[in-house]
Amino acid sequence: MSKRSKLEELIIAYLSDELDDDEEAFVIQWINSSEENKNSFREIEKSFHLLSINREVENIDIEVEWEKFRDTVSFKDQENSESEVDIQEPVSTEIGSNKRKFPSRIVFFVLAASLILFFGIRLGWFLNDITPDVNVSGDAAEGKIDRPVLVFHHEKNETGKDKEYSLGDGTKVVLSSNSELSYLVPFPGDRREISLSGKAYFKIAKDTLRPFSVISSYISTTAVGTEFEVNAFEKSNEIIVRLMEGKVMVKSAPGAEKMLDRDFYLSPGEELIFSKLKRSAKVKKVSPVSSNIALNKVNSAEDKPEIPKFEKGSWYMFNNQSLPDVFKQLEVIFQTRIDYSEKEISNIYFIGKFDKKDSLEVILKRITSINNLKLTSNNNKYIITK
Amino acid sequence: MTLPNDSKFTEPYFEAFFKEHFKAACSYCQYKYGFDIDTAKEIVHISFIRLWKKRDEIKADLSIEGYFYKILTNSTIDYLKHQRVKQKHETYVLKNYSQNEQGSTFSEPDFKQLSTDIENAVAELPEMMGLIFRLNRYEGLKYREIAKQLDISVKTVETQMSRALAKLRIRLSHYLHLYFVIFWVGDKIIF
Repeated sequence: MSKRSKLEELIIAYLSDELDDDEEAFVIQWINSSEENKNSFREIEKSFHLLSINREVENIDIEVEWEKFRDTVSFKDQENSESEVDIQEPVSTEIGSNKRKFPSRIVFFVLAASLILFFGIRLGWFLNDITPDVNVSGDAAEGKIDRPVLVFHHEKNETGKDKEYSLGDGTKVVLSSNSELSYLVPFPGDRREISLSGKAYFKIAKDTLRPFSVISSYISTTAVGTEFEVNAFEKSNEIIVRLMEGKVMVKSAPGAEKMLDRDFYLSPGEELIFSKLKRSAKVKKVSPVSSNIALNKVNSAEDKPEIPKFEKGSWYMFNNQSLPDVFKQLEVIFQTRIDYSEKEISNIYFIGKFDKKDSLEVILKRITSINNLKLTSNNNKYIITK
Repeated sequence: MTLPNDSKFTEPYFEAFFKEHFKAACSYCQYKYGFDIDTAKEIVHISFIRLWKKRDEIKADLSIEGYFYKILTNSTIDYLKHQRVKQKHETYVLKNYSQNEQGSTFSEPDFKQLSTDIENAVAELPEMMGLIFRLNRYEGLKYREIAKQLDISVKTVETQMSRALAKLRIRLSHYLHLYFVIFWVGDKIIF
């Protein structure tokens, strides 16, 4: 009897994400070891699941959903819009007859089979000479070009579940477990770039001026506004890009050994399979994509771009930025003043990576020791001097 | 909902139907097929669009709810057919669904009542148990945090959570005997 209830407690703790890896493995093994166990688990999971669902559904704003629905089916007469002076019937009454059109800015939600491809990622794509394990290296580079203040964000998903992120531009990413991605905030310049190791599904916010690229160690996939999935785990031989909607171009990743002898363009319903061993790619058609169901996903009430939360395994990296810029960002991140003489250190540039767990003092010590600077602290602030 | 004689399913009726059933349809979809909330919402939206397109076919004495839930089931199957990722999942669903969805009466539990029923059931839990349950499930606190906050042991929290769930299971049993539920545990499917 007590063994039974102990197991129940374990199962519930498991469902609440309370267990460590060993305990989890034990529970999963127990569940799968017999039909009876599976049923027991199912019983408990059902009620647990029901309660969780309720919370999620409670957050739905029915008015917002109704507006979304109306936008999708409503009659937007684009041709006549210029010279209609007469009073239009308010849209809330009977919706039109046969002239039903979808709004032009609809982002298609395509129900398509997803292909999963693995991208191996070498995070050094961004900093050519840095591998993920190397921490700090100071660089006294003279005469560098002015760079904007950027922070490099790194997301790692080790939760066992998919995680969704919204990027600052409105792009939505669903990152699978055992996957990580990195990108700069804000996206600098005329491009949006993200590097991926593992698997992620992207729904790119439309920005024709700034193409969005997903980069692995070998391949770069570029799209404008579109939906696609990239699967690129290091351990796998293949990298697959599957396109649901829009258009993407796949080519060799910049700064990496040239793997593809030409650029590939994908249309919806196509997939590209890159073989690391063969160092070549081919494009195949997949099952026809059903795109006759359109949903307006660009709903301003819902799309609040947010900086993703940092989990365990996330870190900051500074990419060849001047020390004043680095200190400015650290001040913001740690909410602590850092005094320095702009003149003294503005020609020193920094490339480095810090764990989110590192304290400001540790970070500053590292930076100053490498660059032969002195670090002192006073009241609630730090002072950097030559 | 049924329409008065000679009426068509026009927008005011549709709006009322939509607002009455949207959340319940999401709960139903999530619960029955194990979808996350966003997928469930998409499928429900698609189903309403399909219902809208067919609105002229709705006659006065048809149960709109039953008709809609049929559309919802079909939309889900379509979705799964195109989602060839979890192949085992899809085969399992299709296998079960072709056999079981023959009936024309809609006899599933009414998910519109779900949140009220849950609220009542949680309110009926003994004080400490209810508090621990709410802290974990609603506030998102971990066991250790709850133990610290209430000055009890983690073991107690574990036991109380287990008992709370056992009690709730009984109170919500009429929702729980849907004959087909899928579980996702991380990336694995456990049937």
